[in-house]
Amino acid sequence: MARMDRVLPEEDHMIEWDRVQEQIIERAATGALAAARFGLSRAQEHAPVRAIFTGRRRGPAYSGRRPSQFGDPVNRKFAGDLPIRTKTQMARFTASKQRNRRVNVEHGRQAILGDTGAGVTEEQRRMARGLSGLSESVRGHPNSLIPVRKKGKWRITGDFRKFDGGSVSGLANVSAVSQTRGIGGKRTISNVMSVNASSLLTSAGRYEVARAKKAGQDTPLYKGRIGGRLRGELRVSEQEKTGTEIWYYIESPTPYAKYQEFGTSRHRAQPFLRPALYESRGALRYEVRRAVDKSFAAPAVRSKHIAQTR
Amino acid sequence: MAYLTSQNIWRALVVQLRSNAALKAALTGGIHEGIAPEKVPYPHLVWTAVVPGVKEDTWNSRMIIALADVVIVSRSSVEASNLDQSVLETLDEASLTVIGQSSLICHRLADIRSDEPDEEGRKLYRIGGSYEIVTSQVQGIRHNAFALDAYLSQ
Repeated sequence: MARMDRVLPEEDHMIEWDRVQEQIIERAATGALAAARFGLSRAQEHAPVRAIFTGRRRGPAYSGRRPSQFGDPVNRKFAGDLPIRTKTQMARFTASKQRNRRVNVEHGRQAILGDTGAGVTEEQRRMARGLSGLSESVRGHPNSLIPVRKKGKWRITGDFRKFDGGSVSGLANVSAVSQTRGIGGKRTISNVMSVNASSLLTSAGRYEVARAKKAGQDTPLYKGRIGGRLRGELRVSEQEKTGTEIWYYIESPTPYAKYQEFGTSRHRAQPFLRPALYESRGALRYEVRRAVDKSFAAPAVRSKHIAQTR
Repeated sequence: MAYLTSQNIWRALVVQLRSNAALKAALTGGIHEGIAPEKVPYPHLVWTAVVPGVKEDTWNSRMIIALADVVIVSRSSVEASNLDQSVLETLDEASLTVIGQSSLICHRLADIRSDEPDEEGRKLYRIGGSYEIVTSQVQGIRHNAFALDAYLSQ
């Protein structure tokens, strides 16, 4: 077996380790960045967001979900679980059954609740198509939900019946609702203000929508959205080197972030940055160690090392 | 024997604060968790559990790291600073008695200082600090049925 001092001259040895050291630092920085991103995701999870929709703790998450997934209470509500309380309601319901529809008179509104999901009949589809197309203003509850597969995406569509003093005066197409990918993806005002979403709002959500309507759609809100600003503005800073140290910061540039983090005399603190920091300590150790391990296994360094030791 | 949660840590923290008679007497508004109710007189102390207990398991022991903000709310910055110093002397490097924890270290990590107007437009000072509490629970050997046999083939 050859001795190392014979095979590796002193100068080559030093050059080798300089390269290795550079690579280790570079890889460690990569690991630190990965850990910072993990911390960012934890901070986003901890960041308080106003719950403006029912059924979800932090707003809707219906984007990409098929409307046939009716496990959620919100979807169950859509699916026609509205109660029938009075004899009149029952009579209307019985009468409507002949048309394979269901009449709901709750809150003085009349709506037709068709079947949903896979149980939608062709007759219902035809009926929904035939009833839509009028340009009346859209008010009231959704009266049918028919999953329509368009361009590879499942979308919610349906018909809304305008209720006017006890008689149905018109129907309106709500194809615009289908363009919003359900109510989910974005908490934009147009989504929230749509008839589809209005029945899903919490009391806080109704307050926010009313405030937004009052103030206009652009001025008081963050990028036209309701809620989610604190979470949306969280970010990982650029790399900062001080001597041998590499720093990444998880930043929250939102002006009221400090009041959420530390509280005020009238507002309870809802810390979100420091818990994320503590939770990502383990991730930092793991990511940096893994990245540095990889640097030793990197082909460039390894091949040269092997070549020199032969 | 099951591991204990971080609840006893908060209890020990408040017990330690209350054990300082001078501090307790000076805090006319009392000690509150999270936020003080309305019309509580100043000065008062508010503590908040920031990190409710990150667990790190090692061989035969579990470490719980908790973080709490302890803040004095007062109309006078001098009064708040003095009381904050008293809290610091009470908590920093204090030997707390936590049920189920074999050891505990409590030290101050950072200062918190802010001011805000109250309902009457007068300044209200919030002065305090973040205290990190590290505990360790050493367990007995729980898995003694574990055995390792080695066979050497000839």
